Amino acid sequence: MIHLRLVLVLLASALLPACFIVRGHQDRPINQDLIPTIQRGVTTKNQILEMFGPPQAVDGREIVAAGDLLGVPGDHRRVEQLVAARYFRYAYYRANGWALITFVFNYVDADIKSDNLIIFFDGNDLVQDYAFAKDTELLPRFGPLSR
Amino acid sequence: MHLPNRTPIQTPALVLLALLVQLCSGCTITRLYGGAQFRGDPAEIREGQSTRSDVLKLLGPPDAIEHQVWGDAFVYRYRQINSASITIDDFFFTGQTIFSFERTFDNSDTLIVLFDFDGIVNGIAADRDTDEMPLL
Repeated sequence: MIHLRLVLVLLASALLPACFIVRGHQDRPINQDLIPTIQRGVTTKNQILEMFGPPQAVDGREIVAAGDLLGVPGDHRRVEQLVAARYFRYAYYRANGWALITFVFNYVDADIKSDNLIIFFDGNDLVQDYAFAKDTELLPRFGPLSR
Repeated sequence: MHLPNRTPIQTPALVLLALLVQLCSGCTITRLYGGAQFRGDPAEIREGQSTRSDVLKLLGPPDAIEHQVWGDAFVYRYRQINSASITIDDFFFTGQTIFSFERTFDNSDTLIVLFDFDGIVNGIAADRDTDEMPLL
């Protein structure tokens, strides 16, 4: 009987789970309260910088066809040129991870999502378009149990 | 040498324990997710009609913007990695791995929307590969 108890204790010890929970954050959250104040054709690039600070990404490239612009007939070579920033991208990343480790079985579950705000500008540095998505709300908090 | 007598229960339990120890850290299942699934239905986008603004309202900010000679391309991507592995190690005698098997599926739902220079959609393609991933 002592042997059986010893076996059960060893078996239970061997299968004892260890649980890991990981939370990751990159950059700072985007201030959602300011997003409704953005107006297409009215808000300027400088105002965006004042509201949200420096963006994580700036794109200042544009593809142009010089022949098209001049109205010259034929198939024109497209060239890339640097222009004033076409869009700003603000992003806030979060990662939720969860792992169950036992002696004979391991389960790992991790999810990375981000809040994104992208703002396009026209040639006069006025907001042309923008879009915001708060995907971090979709992160599962308890791995597969909350997915 | 005298061996202690064991009951019928003890012997299979010891064998089971020995097998479990032999199969140390045997099975691992991994699930990794990146990005968000499509926020709207791509079928609502009309080639030659929908504008960049329409696409932004429907699908939100793209994960990437690519430049092409005929205009921009918005790329939306949701990625999922399913992995399962089993390993049998011999910790006691040889210290080596006896058997190892791993299978990984790295699939993505991808949507690409092409625009002309005027910001009008002139091409769209969507693929939902994560639906086809096996459970294990």
